[in-house]
Amino acid sequence: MLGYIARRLRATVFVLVGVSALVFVMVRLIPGDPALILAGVDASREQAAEVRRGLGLDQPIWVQYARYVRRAVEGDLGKSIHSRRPVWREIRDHFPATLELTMVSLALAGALGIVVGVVSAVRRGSALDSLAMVGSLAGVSMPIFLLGVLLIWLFSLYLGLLPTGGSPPCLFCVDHLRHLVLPAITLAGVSVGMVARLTRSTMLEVIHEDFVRTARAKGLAERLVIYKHALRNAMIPVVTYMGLQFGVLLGGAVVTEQIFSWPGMGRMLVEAIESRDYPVIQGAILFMAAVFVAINLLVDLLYGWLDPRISYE
Amino acid sequence: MRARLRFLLTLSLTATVAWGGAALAATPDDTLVIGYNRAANNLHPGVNASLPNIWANMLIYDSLVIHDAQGKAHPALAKRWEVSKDGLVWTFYLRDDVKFHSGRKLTATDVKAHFDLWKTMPTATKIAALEKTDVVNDTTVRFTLKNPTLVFLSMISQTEWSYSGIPDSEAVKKYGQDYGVLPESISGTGPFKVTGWVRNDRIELARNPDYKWGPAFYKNQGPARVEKVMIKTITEEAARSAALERNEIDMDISLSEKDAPRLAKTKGLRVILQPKNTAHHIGFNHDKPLLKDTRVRLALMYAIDQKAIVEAVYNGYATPSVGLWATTVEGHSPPAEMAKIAPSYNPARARQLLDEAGWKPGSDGIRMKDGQRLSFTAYGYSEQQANLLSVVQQQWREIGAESQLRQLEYAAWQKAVTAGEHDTSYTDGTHSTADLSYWWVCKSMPYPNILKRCDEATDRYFEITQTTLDPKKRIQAFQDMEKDFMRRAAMIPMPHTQWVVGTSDRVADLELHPIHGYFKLLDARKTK
Repeated sequence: MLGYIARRLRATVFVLVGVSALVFVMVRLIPGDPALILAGVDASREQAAEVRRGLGLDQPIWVQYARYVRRAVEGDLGKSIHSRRPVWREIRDHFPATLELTMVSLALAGALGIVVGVVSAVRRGSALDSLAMVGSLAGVSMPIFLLGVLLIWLFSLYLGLLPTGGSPPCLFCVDHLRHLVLPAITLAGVSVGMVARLTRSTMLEVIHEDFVRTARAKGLAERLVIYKHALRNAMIPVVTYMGLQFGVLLGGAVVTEQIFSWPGMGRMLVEAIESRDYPVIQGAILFMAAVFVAINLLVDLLYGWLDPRISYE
Repeated sequence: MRARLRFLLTLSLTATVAWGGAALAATPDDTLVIGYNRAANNLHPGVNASLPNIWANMLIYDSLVIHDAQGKAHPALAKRWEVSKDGLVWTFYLRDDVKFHSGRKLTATDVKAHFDLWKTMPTATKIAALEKTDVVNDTTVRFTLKNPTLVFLSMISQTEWSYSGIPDSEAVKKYGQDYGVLPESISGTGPFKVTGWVRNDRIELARNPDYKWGPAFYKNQGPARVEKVMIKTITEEAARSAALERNEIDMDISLSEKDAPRLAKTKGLRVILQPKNTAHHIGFNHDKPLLKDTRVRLALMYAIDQKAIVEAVYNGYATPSVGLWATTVEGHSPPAEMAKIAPSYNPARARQLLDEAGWKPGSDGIRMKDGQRLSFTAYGYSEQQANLLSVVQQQWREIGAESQLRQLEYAAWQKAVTAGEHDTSYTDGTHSTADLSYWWVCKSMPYPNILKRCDEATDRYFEITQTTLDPKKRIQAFQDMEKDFMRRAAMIPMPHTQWVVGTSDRVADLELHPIHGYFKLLDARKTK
């Protein structure tokens, strides 16, 4: 097991180096000059050149990258061009909000998707099954943006039940939870449908397996057969999928945070892209890639717990 | 079973009502909540040109002078000022009763410290004429310029993007690079002080109770009438409108023109309008052979029906322009004079000019000359500009000219027009004075001079405006330049836009500024 983790961590280093190089080059390929954005439209040419020099952007790209990597290895992701704060501080301030939103959405998607999927599979062909599958298809097909705006219209404007967006600073107050509901449902929207469909199809496969038939033949209650034997085995592909979904939700949070003014990494990243804040873009994407890789490793380790047949040797 | 079901139903209904009741609560009586579409990132004046920073800094800091909505300079932190006969030495006499939010007294040392630091900041172009700053005594500061210019006063006015707001030099020294970033570091002399800042979400400000140096053009020069201000970032237009309707915010400073009529009719809300100091225009790329002929450019000007644009694009919330500058901009030409010079909607005249220039209608209606179609690109960098350019596209088509729309993201647009990829491009211009003409002089090539026009007359007029010490001569030079632009079809003026601000009807005495919207919020109050 430890050997397996060490191998995965070694691979992670290469992944992160690749991501950093790719992002570094790509942000510089986006048209736009950070110096001009920083200095304003009426900055003189000399002033803009001076700002560019100050930011080190007048150097060849490979020199800039070498400097970036050297600092990154020492744990320094640079400073935001605009706020002049260290990038790690920007990440530290914004990531908890994104993590909270993503985790709540993932939990919501998992809980709801698995329940819907199991019920659909157990009552295959019933009206409930059809309704669940049509609903999940709608969830999968609907763009996050549209879902978000519709939810604002319904729950905020029409019913007046929930706030339109924002995030009160108090973490454990009811007001904070109320602000979290709509963004979490919006972000979970796509995943619920996918988890439900996946759970349904794997459950349908599993409930026809021999071990399920044996369990029934032994006289076990149907609830125990379904939840203790069938569901646990059906969970392996669902867990894999949900691990990958974490990355998808991190990406989806960019749009959701924009709609609901949720002060997380997504908002920070969009602001940084608009203002060509290279260090923040690079740092944020590298960090998100690292989180994604770590979650995937965790999911792989979870397999062993779910299915003792899986060995890491 | 039924009893249990009834209990659960009652419980959920009670929870829903309680939950909803809490959600419908209005903004606090003592707090003015302003919704804005972008977030501030650094509140040290001059550090960058980001608008959300500039707007917040208007409330947190003061400058030596400030311009009113009509463009007149007023004393602020300086009681008065003198200019030497050669125009090189400017002496400012400071008020001696001003305190920073930290409690420290403002002195000339703070002014010098800020100007010395500003000269090293990205926005230093504004004070390019400044040679050095000297402290004469605690309440007197002297600026020495490299060349005489009246523009200096405008450039150090707070109206000029608030870069000249004076921070507490002790706090700047103490916090270094963290000044303007950590909420506790920020200390100005403005009517509001920072009490909290959740990045990308909100800035919380509290009234400065010691404030008594407000500009004379406000009715109230003492402490602000609202106790607290909260600037909330709500990026999405639809979400901002919804927040205003739900009383989650008191004011949407950038209401969309399409939502304004509906919100104006909504109970409890108002829409306030304030003309902006604009010089919006479609600029021609004078480097392109197709657009070198003045008759072609004039024809494209005559084809524009601004009234139709105002209705179709701005829902009526804009006014057709006569010349380039709005009439509130210092240096604009009198509208009656401009009406005689600037081409106005006349498609027959447009067709006649194109005929004279040798452009004849082709089989599909688009004009041709020597096998070339009268076809060109039109660049813009926002959805609204794309809407406007598509209306213009139809109007140009009426006279046989074809345009292809290119809507880019701002920074990408900036790069494309700097490289001269465009034939025509829409450009927003908002400024207190016609000094924005800097955009069109030779030394501003390739950017911001995206007209790609290096013209001797323009440079000469501009030189006069920047070097004369006679205010009348300066205004005359600006007016001559504007008329020359129209006669020689340098660009097409576009409608002057307005601040379209949605407020709850609990907000009273809100006066808006043509450039900076809510500006210093000294008179505004909130009723119960």
